[in-house]
Amino acid sequence: MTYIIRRLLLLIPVLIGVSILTFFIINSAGDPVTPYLQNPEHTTPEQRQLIIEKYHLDEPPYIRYFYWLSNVLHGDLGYSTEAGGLPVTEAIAKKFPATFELTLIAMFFSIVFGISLGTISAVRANSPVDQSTRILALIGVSIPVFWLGLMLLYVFYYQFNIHDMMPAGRYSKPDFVDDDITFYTNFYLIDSILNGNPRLFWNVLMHLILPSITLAFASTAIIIRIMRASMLDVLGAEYVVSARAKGLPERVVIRKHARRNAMIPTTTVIGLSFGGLLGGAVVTETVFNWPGLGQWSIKAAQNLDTGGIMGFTLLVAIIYVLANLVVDVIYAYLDPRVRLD
Amino acid sequence: MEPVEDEELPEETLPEELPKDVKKGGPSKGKMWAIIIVAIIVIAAIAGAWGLGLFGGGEDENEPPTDGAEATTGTTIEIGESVSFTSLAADSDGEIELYEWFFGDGTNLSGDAAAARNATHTYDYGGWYWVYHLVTDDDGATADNEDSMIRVIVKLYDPGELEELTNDTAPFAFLSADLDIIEINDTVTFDMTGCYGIEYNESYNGTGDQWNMSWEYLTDIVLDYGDGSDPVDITPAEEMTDTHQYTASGHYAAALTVTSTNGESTTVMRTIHVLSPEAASVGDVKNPNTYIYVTIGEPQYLDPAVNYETAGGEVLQNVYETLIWYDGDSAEDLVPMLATEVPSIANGLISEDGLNYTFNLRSGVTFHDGTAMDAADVEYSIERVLRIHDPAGPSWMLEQVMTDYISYYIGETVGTWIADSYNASWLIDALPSDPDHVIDDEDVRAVSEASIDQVDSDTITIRLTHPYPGFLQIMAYTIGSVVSMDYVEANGGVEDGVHNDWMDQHTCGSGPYKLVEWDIGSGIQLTRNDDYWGPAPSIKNVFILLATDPNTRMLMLQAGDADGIDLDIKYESLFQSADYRISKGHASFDMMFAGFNMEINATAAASQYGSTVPSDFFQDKNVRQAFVHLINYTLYIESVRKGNGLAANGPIPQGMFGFNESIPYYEYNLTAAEEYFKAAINEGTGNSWWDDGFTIALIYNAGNEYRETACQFMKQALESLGAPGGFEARIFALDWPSYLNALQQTPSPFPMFWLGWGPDYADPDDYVTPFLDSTYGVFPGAYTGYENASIDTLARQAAAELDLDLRYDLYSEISMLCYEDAPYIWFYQAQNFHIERSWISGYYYNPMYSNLYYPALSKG
Repeated sequence: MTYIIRRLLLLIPVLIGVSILTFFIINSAGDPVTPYLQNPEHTTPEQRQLIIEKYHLDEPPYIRYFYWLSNVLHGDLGYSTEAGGLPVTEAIAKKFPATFELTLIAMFFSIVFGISLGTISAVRANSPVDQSTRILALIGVSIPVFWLGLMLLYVFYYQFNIHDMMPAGRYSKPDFVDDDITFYTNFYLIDSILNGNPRLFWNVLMHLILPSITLAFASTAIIIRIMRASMLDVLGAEYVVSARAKGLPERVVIRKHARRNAMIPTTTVIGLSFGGLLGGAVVTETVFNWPGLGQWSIKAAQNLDTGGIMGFTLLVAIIYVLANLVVDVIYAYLDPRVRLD
Repeated sequence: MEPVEDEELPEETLPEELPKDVKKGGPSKGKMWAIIIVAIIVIAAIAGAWGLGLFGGGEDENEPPTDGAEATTGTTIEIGESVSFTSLAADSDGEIELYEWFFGDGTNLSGDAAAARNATHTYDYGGWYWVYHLVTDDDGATADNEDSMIRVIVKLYDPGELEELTNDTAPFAFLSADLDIIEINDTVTFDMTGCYGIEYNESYNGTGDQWNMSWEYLTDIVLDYGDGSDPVDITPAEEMTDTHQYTASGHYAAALTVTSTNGESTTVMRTIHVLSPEAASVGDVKNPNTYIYVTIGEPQYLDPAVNYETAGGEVLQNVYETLIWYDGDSAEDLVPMLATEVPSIANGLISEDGLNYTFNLRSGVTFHDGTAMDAADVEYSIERVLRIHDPAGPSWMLEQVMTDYISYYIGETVGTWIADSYNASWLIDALPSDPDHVIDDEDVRAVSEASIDQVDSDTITIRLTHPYPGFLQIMAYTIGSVVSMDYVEANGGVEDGVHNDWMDQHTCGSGPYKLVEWDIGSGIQLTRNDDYWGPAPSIKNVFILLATDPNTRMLMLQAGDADGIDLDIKYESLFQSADYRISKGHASFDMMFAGFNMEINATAAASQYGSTVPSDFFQDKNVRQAFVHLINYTLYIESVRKGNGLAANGPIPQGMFGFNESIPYYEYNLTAAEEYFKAAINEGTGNSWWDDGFTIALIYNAGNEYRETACQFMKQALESLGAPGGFEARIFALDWPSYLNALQQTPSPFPMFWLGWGPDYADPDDYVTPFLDSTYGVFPGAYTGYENASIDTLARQAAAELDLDLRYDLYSEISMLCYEDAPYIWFYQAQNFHIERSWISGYYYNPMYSNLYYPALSKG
């Protein structure tokens, strides 16, 4: 517990560093007033002046930073023009669940297939199973994401004519015109249960499958590779030999002795790729028209929506840092030596 | 280095003997996984085969065959050539007994597999054909390729033929049809305009031997509809059209035979396919009550007072209504909408001096919030535009004629504004009499209120400061939308000089559709307004969804989930089946042009792009004239635009009042260009530019292939001239924001720039002033520095001229002066391209619409 608290405290300087970087990058890129304008193109000089005073934008940058930080901590990150002029925090509240839901499912696929295929690959090294898994992994890392997404759409949505996979948003809105749906959490799988609407649940689930497979493909491949490599290392280690020597069934050796140790490096990769998936779903979200963070961030960057860029940067930084923290905690669980440090 | 130790041994009993090969435990696991993977693959394969329809279903009932056909040779051929087809028909539970082919020219072929599985047919006449294929299985069930018929195009004539004309040359025949896959009782309009005969004339124009082509040399024109009804004789004329209603399903060959004075005749054909009732039935249509349009852009705002782009315009034109609107596909003719009559001087609703416009309002109209529409709402809506006066929005259209741009003078004195204005007494009276009074929003409000009068609850009068015949067209733009006063007042009201944030994203109009939801980043949902005063729209729900990737949009159209999509014409060839209907070739009002910068920032141009031309390079008319002759316009439109563009002869687009076809078009003429370059003097040296040479930078916005190719056309032509001084063009691409930014610098480092111009309202003044007026025009003012005093005078005179004939002549004069002065290169006028599923009907193109007007459409 103290370990976790210590790690949480260590987060603070990291986040301060991130915030300083974000602040100065944004301030070097454009007018410091724009993030606070709902309609940057249509603002009167009086409105500008009010904002300058309210946010102390006429102070030198190092003082402005503290005002800015205080606003951020109070949840005021300004407005995002690419989210229709919504406050950045509201935009995040709307877009984050979309991407998070997608990423969770994608990670689920990645972890299940990555670890199991990686393990088999190592245990049956150089067998046909191993070879085909390695080829699959190679394909996984080299296949262009947009192409994979389109091919999946072509086969499942068009050829197999699975109407519920319509690539426009997170569910087929036109099919639910007569349903009264309230989105409480913006996690649509949960919301569809809360609405007691099994048809919606199915539709949301079908919408999630193709983009999450697309998103999961590359990270699965990486997890397979790492898992296989570290599993091979571990299988040659003395404690595995001794575990076998004392007569444990191979299944137990693999599961409890070898795999658990081999998971240590894999966990790092999983944690980092989770952060990466959340921030990097840009292409997948474009192909499937997924109204999440990826789409929003790319539009924000293209159109110099400074509020949006700032909010997105901070969010991704925090997610990365948190993902790292979670990885470290799992590390501690997997490897007691870490706790002793 | 203690490894993690297992806590305890598993509960299973230990084997009696230790395994000799410790790996033995593993393989069973691996096998299990291999089996699972194989099982997954097998299941996927079965699912795939099932999805592709390879498996038959029940055992007792006959499964009907499936049909399809493909051409195994090219389908664009010349007269007398043939095309081979092969059947793709299959029957899962038997054999195909009968294969039938209908080649579209009235002939057919039928037989068993040996005789007619493959077919080859020779086409004797030019024209456009559909090839229809029908199969029958051994149980008598049939299938056809009605949803994917093969298009065969037989060229109308051999180009070489026209080069060697003789007294026996056959006339040229041309037959087009607005629709060629129709339902029973649909009417087809045939167009035969462009048929002509050929005659030899010895003394034509005194130029010696000459072949003339004209419809006047035609003697007989016979059109056979192909459905057994009597052929009709068409009287030769410059324009020839005919309509025919097809009352039974079938595959018909409409044939046109024209005979010319030399006794020769030519026949061309066009297949008309009338769908069988089952194919045309609603059963096949997905989401019969819903129209789904998938597009790339989202509205900026949904407030008609501030929105100034087409994605928002599309929603606005369906949920709001203006007093007057366009008549069907015409951008010139207006019809009353919320008014009962279109004002004119003749009906007395426009005063003789052209200043007062009176609108009588329709009664019984309610807004979506249930309140009734009356004159107070109309006055409120117009004043709202003037009071918000967003300089980036469309409010200038009303301000230019109603308040003389007073909002632009906030912070300046009343005296300054009066000096620049048309001195409208009712506006001046609304202001403080002190000429040194500084104008603020309060004054803008007073002036706005003075410019519009509520006569009674059904009548309003708008006062213009000067005559402006384009005003009616302005009122037809979405800026003239009438909003519910009660609704706006309940949601923030009007604040001078700022947007109403609520109204930017919510609507309350009287239109045929209501906005249900705008889910930003995802799409828009509209639903039919069941209390609409006019005829109820046929389609209940409308979804405008976003998909930025064109492949995704195309898949949605193919799957039938999208009824229409935004698509570039370059994908047209992928949609050549009866499932889709394409509308194209109608003139839009979008002009693509290149402007000459007459005040180049030569220093920046030299350092950034290596350009060597001086700042005033394009002030020399000879230089401009030389450049306009460098572009091969015909080739550009044909090869780059794939024929989807019209040549343009000036700022006024075809289809708009003031367009005059007799104004000459710039031509591709390198000899002329050379002469102009020889006549253009480099003032720095006193030599001609031809002798001195130059390097010029051509810059376009990255990703715009049309502009990129335009730059290449120019570069190639310029460098091919072989000028002794050496001409060089360097092409650069900038991303759009940087491009715009550099262009908007004064002076700009771009020697030339490429831009497009779309209509605000359908009046020539919206083209002539921005392009040519040195004071009020956006391009001369901000980009080119062009100045021509005669054009300035004529443009202002034409803008205010109430006599339409006189006005037309003024615009012709301006266009001619513009042609001679060559301040721009007119690349082309764009044409529309729209694709939809063929189960949608009612679509027509109006260049002033923002995409679709849903009440016109129906489905199934």
